[in-house]
Amino acid sequence: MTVPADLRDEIIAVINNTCPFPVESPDCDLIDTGVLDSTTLIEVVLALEERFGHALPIEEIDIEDLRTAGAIAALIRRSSESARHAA
Amino acid sequence: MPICLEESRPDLETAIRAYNGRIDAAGISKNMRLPEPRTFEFLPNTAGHKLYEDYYLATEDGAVRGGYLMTSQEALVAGESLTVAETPEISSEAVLDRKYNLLVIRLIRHALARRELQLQLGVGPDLTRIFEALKWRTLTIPLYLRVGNGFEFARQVRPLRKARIGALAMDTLAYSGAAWAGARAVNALLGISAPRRAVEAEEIDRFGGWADDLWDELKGDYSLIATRDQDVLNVLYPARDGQFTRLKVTRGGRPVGWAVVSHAVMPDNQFTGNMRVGIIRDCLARPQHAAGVIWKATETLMRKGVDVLVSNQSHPIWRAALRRSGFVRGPSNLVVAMSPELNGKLAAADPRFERLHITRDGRRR
Repeated sequence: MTVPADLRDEIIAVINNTCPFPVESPDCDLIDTGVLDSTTLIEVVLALEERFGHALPIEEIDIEDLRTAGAIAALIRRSSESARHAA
Repeated sequence: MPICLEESRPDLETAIRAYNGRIDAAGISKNMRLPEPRTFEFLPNTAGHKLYEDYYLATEDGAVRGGYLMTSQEALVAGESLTVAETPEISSEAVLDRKYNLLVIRLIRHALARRELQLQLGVGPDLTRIFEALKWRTLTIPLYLRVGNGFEFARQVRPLRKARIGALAMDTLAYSGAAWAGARAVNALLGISAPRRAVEAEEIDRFGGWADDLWDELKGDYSLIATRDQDVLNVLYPARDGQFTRLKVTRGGRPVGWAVVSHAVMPDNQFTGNMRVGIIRDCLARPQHAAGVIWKATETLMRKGVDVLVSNQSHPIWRAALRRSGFVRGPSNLVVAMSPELNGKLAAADPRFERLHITRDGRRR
C-alpha cells in the first residue's frame, strides 16, 4: 500500500510530540532503537487515535505495524478506510 | 490465535498459575501477579452487596496473557449514590513480551465498558502516563508522616537518606519525632497539643449501627466518598483480619467518629527500610472531632510500638487533623486516576477537587 508522504510526516509529528527522542526518518526503527518503550508506544497509539479521530484496531495490531513511521502510516490508512466503510 | 477477554473460570486456574510463574521467573514485581482463585478470597458479586469483585482474564489459546480484578463499591459521588469500580492491578504479559504491549489498553477499555465510573488508587508511574493519555484525571493524594520511635528512626535514617524518600523529608521527620518525644518548645512551635474536645477511643471487633448513623450524618460533607456504613466496614475490615485495629471514638459516651489503623514491617522497603510502620488507613468523624480521632489513632499506633506513622489523606479537614497531631507532609507516591465520566461528575460539583475523601483504605493496599 502506498502511503502519502504528508501522512508519514504527520505520524512523525505525533511521535515527536509524544517521545523525548526526535525521529526524522520514516524508516527509523522505533522499537529496536528504543525510541518507543512499552509506555511511550501506548502513548503514541492513543495520540494517533486522537489525531486521526478513530479508534485503532488494538486487538489486530502487530508490533511490526508500529516499527517505523512508514508502517504506522500504512496502519492509519488501513484503519481509516475500515472506519469509513463501517460508518 | 486472537486474544479473548473473558471472565475467570475454574478451569483457567492452571493457566493463571503458569502466568504467575512466568512473572516470578522474570523477577517482576509481585504486584503484577494475578489472583489465584484457590487461594484468593474474592468478594462475591451477589445481589444486594455494596462491595464485590469481578475477575477478567485475557486468554490466548488456553494461556493467560493478562487480566484484572475489578472491585465495585457503592459511593456517594456529588451527592448521588452510584457504583464506582477500581481495578488496582491491571497486569499483562507485555512485561515479558512486547507483542502484548497494547493489551493494557484493551484491558482498561474492557473494564471501562463494564463500569464507566472508575477510580484507580495507587497507580504506578507508567500506568499514570497511560491513564493521562486516555484522558483520565490524575491526582496525588498527600502523604503525612510522623516519627514514633526516634531511636529506631535515627538508626534507619542513614540508608533511607540514600533512598528516594529524600533527605529533606528525613529532616522534617526527625523534627516531628523530636516533637513527639516531648520537647515542649518544639511542640509549641508545631502547634501540637491534645485536641481541646477530649474524646475516648475503644478497640472494637465490629462496626455497629452507630457507624450507620455517622455515615448518614456525614456523607454529605464530601463530594466523593466510598460508602462507609457498618455493612461495608465489616467486609473491608473484618474482625478475623488481624492486621487491622478498629477504633470507635466517642465523646461523653456518644459516637463521634472511627478510625482503622494497621501496622507492619515491610522488610527492606525502599521508603521505610525495616521500620515498623503504622498506617492510619481509614477514618470518618464529625469535623470538630477529626483531630480527636487522629490523635487517638496516633496514640493507639504508638502504644503498639511503631517506629513511623503514615497516612494518606485528601480532604483538608483530615490533613489539618494530622498536622495537629504532629504529622508533617512527605513525598507521596499515591496517585489516583479517575475515569473521564467520574471526573466529569466531580468537576461539576467540586471544581477544585477539594472535598474528596480518599485514603489508603481497603483490604489489600
